[in-house]
Amino acid sequence: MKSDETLMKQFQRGDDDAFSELVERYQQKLFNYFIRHLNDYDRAEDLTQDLFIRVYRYGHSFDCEQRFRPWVYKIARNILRKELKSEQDGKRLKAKILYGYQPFLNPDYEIIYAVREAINKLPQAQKEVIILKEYQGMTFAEIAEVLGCPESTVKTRLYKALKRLRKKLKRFRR
Amino acid sequence: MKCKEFENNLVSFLYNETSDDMAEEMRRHLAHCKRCRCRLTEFSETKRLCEQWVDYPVKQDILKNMMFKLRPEIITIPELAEYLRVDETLIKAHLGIIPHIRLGEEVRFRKKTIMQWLDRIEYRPERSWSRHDFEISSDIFKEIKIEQE
Repeated sequence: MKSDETLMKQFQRGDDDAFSELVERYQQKLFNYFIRHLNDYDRAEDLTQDLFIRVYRYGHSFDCEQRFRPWVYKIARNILRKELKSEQDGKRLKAKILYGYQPFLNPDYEIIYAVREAINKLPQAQKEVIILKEYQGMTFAEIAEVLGCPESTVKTRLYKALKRLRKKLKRFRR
Repeated sequence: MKCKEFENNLVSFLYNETSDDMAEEMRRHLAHCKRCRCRLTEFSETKRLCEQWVDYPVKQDILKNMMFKLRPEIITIPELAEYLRVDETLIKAHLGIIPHIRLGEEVRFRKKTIMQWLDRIEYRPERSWSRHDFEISSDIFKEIKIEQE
């Protein structure tokens, strides 16, 4: 399988198929990055689309010596921050309901519901670390690159996040 | 290894991101420290619970919609057919209701006008089974379950 960076190189030479391949690879993960932060299906889809439009338009500025994954997540994070800010400014109604048809797919919906609530209540800095680590499967080094902070900070935040979640999810532990 | 050091490396250990030497040292510590063993179990359990919140599926065809957005302002019949996922002949047959621009034999569409037109013709029943209902019904089920307990 070609690496993300090779695909970017091909895309920069004008190969749109390489770009499509990247979208295929990342759309699910990035969509989930947004939805877990925003709890809003439609907005998450819009933002995922916006993100790839940016990659398409500004892909030429990507340095193929660097790694693609942290690069694309940095863009995603910028988009998300802007969105969260406009939410705070009251430009958009804050979505309180996450369209939760997931419970139907999983009998343990009560756990999912509790996990979702607990993660949503974490301070933003801890929330983003746990989302990047647990659900996006990034390494500590990659997360540090995305957030622009030392790896040790990432680990401390994750530790704090898990500690809080441990308390909140106590009743579900076996 | 002291408990403090174990705690500092706990998350790396949990996500298998410690060096082999460190992992070995931590396992040795675990063998004789009950407190750290408990802590690790609690954290692994919490992680396991978090894993249950699985990924949401993407419903939209992000790529196709995006390519439509990236297309120039004016599009052709095949491009519109591809976007609407219908046959070109259907577009040609419905030119009477689709806003378009005719230049001699050629037909073109303005993307913006098409989007507005789609908004206008979309059928929206007054009461529909929306995603919101799913959320409400899942709450109802939750209540039922609690009652049963």
